[in-house]
Amino acid sequence: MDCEKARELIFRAADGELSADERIALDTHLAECAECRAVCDALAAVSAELRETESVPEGFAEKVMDAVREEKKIVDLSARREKMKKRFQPGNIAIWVACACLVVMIGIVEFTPVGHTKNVSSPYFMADQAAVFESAEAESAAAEEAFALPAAEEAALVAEEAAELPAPAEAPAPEMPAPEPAEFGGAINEAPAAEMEEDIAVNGAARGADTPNALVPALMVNGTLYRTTGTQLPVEPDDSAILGYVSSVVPLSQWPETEGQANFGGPDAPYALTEDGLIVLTDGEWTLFEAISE
Amino acid sequence: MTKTEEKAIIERVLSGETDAFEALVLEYQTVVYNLALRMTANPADAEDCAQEAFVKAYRSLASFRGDASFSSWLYRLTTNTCLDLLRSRKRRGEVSLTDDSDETDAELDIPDETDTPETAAVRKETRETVRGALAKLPPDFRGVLLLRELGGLSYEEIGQQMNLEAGTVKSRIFRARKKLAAILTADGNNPHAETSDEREVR
Repeated sequence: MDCEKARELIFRAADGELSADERIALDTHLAECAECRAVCDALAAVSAELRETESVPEGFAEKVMDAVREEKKIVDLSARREKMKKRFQPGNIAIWVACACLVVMIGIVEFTPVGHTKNVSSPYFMADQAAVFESAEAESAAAEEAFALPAAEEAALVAEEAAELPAPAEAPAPEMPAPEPAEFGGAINEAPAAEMEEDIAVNGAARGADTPNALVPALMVNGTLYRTTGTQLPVEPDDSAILGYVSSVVPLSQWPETEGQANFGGPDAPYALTEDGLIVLTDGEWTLFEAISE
Repeated sequence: MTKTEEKAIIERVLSGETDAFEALVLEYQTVVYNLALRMTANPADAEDCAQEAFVKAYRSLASFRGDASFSSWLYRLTTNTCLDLLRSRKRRGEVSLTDDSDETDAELDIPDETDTPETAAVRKETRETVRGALAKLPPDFRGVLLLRELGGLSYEEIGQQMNLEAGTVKSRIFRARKKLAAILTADGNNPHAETSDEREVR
């Protein structure tokens, strides 16, 4: 046997893969070849050293659990914040605007001086006014609905939260609806790499077929990719709004793949959630980011 | 801990009983910490990475699917956390304390099995030498080798976790061992001896 073949057997032997015949052939070679013996010994030393585990630092498990509990708090908090945010989404904003208009209109009608009304009491005006009242009534109904909506949502939220807390023991099969921490944490973030790449491919496609690579500043937060809108906001978010800090940075040509990873700037840049959306501190300015895909 | 017990614990954590997670930490902390220690070659970094790996596992526990073992998933999180750290260091231009290519004293003195007063000292030296050699491996290669040797994962499990073909895993481990052997034997002092191993056949 030549040394090359022997080396191959040595490396395979490290995994206990050799047949009896191969073992004998290798031993025969080792008996007469000091070099291969040295290689064999070296690998044995590596395996021996790796088997010799060091004890974990004192209090490690406690520290981990503290961090985990902290994580749970953050997740609960941001999940709540996310839910709050949903209430002020565009659909609802229209209703709020309608309410505001209504209030203004009622004001106009109520406080129009009576004398003034008399002076211009043409049939047309009366008709107009009646129309205003009619529509005011209609909108008032709409307003009641609108005001009722957040309350209903609130109730739904409470019910949702209640449902999430003591999930029955039979629940969590692999495909079960994720409870809060996971739903928010890294369901995508730490999903198996294959899925991850699929996600990224999809997101990449969403940016246009001609940009398979990222090439746009992006950041992954809670498993969602956000890209820059280029809009700088003259805001200074509250410390409590800060969701985290950029944990690691990949080249601009790549999409961030893990929680807090960005493909621009430097690590430790803070990002925060505000009414406008996700903002990231880049070059001393807070820049608005938008989710690439839902 | 049996797989069934483990599954029950995971379900309890998922249903909101955060403190149940501690049982998993206690069960796996030694391997996770030692994996991180071998990956980063630095106790402080190892502790940070090991902790982060557990927090990540907690955060994304719901995405853990029963088709892989929890341990192999957790070890993968650990390895990747360490790789992220090492990469960010590299990008920032920080020089790794252990990645000292001028170091030429890597040649291994295999201790005799005979008990001499120096045995312990020699053994310690061997350990240092081996660690130094491990630290010289490209991090990706070190990762798969550690998952195999320390984590006890099969090629298939490593492939599944790292999204690599089993053949690629095998080839990386083969090359990692070859490189280690080269560093630890006389070849290690010849910088040209390793260059042919740098390329990887996918």
